[in-house]
Amino acid sequence: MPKSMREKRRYIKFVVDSDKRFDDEDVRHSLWGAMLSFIGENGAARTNLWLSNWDEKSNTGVLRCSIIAVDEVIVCMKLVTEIQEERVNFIVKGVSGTLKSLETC
Amino acid sequence: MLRNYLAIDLRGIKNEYYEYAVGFGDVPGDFKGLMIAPEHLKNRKDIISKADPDVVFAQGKDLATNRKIIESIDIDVLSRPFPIDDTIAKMAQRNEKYFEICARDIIASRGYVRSKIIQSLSKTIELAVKRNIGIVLTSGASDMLETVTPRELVAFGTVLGLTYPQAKGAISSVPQSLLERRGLL
Repeated sequence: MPKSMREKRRYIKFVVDSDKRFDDEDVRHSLWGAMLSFIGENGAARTNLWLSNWDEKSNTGVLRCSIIAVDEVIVCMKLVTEIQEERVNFIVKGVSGTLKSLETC
Repeated sequence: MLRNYLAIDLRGIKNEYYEYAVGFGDVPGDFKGLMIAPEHLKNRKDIISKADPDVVFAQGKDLATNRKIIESIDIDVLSRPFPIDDTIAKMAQRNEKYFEICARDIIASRGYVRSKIIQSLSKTIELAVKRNIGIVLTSGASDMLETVTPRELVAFGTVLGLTYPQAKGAISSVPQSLLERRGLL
């Protein structure tokens, strides 16, 4: 597909604020649960969501999503209040068009 | 690197994301806020004179209560501003009242209740934008695990129907104008 026709993406760097460490499967599962309940299957399909990086030691990750769904994805992240019965807070550190510029966030 | 935002979280605990915050009760904050529940609206004058707050919020309930709050000169902000109609919106514009959209209302609810709250808030925002009423986006956080960053509040605003500049104004210039009007800044 030519570059001009490709969908524009945004990367969202986030931290899961909690004392417990979680693996990427836990985070992905909770995020998709919140997303399906908030915007439904049709809306979730349009977000093109993908957990591209996850660092278990610092509970930090990078989400990739469609440019049109950035705000919906951020709201869905905030709706996750528990992972494995542990209270958590998703904190958005930054939103960017490239992974490189997220390094400074 | 965390950026220091020039944003005012008018309702929530003081945190690293905001320059100013209004705290309730024993929660430390830059300014003291007072939230009046609908059942205490009758005794509001006594409550306000005892507490001596910087900013006064009142929680909305039904159309009659919301109208009373908008007509009152002691109250600055109508919290949970639903249900409202065009008459209340007109009065709010005339009396220079603010509407508070609290992210906690959405986060803490689930299912049917959450969808009804979002529906009502979207309608309120539509009327407020039409009548040029100040909208304040707040976190409503009571501890550190409930704090919401400015970018997240903007996302809540845009999902509820505000444009990006309007949502940014709702966490910065609009609450700042409220504090300036009260002579606090």
